[in-house]
Amino acid sequence: MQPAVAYNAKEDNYLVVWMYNWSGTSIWNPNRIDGRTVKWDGSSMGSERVIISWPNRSFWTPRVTWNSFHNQYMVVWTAFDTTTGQPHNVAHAILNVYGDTLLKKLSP
Amino acid sequence: MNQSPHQIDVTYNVAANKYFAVWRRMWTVGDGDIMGARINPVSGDIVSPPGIIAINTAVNDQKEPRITTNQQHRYLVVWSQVYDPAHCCDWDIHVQELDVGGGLAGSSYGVAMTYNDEESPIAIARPGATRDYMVAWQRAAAGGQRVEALRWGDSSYTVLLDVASASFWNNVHPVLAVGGPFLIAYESDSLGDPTVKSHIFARLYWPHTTYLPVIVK
Repeated sequence: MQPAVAYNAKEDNYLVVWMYNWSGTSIWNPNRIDGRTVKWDGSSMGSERVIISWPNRSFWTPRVTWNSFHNQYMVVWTAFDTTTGQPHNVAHAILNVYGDTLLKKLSP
Repeated sequence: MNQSPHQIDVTYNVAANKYFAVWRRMWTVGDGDIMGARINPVSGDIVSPPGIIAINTAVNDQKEPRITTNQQHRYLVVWSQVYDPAHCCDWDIHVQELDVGGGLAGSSYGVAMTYNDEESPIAIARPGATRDYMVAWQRAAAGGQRVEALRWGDSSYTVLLDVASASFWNNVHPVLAVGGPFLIAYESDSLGDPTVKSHIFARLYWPHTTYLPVIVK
């Protein structure tokens, strides 16, 4: 659900991210943010990556942007607390051109 | 002090070499505000000063912030805001420009303020030193949801675009891109006809030339 995409003009490919509902589609269900890189012609560049998964958290509305200077991506999301159903925090991860996570910051 | 941050969006400005994230925080129940922060692309830390930036904290409820940049000297943040803080309804569309240091550039202003609800805004800035913006949103008009857009900038006329307004259709969730022309894509579904499925449509806006539907899927 809720896909987002950024284009990498240096590599001529894309990073697609989405919300993976492995346990249900409400904010009370734990779920995660996944992503994968895709070539210019739509062919896959590798397997899907788990960008963020955490106990008692439901991750929603991922967004992504490309950093043209460092040739990296930033993915952001909203985390809901599945025990309260309330927004818990917003956070981000920086990924390399292959979609591998370089670092995560769990709250601004 | 958690304030339930949510609805985050992010962009990257190459001139400043910084990410800029915006989100909604709840000051009180029913009073959301628009906050933001520049983020260091190496450490991932918030750049301080200025730290977390209060982009708009009016007593009116605000939601759904989105951000774009011209990759040079400006960010543009758009959000949906309640017209009257004493009441729950009549959402309008407002924007705020910021400089690359995260400072507010001028005051916020409304770009869509009819008596209908305007929600789900999105913004795009053409890369370059000249400001050239487009904002799109969905408007709850009689007969279904419309998609409208506004284009303005330093060297362009301000143009309000009726992107999709057919009666008995719901046109929602616009997204934007800019290459030469602006591209406005959106979901569209019939009102009351279960045999019609939701489709994705788009229109191209070429300044001073044509304004045509381009995709039906």
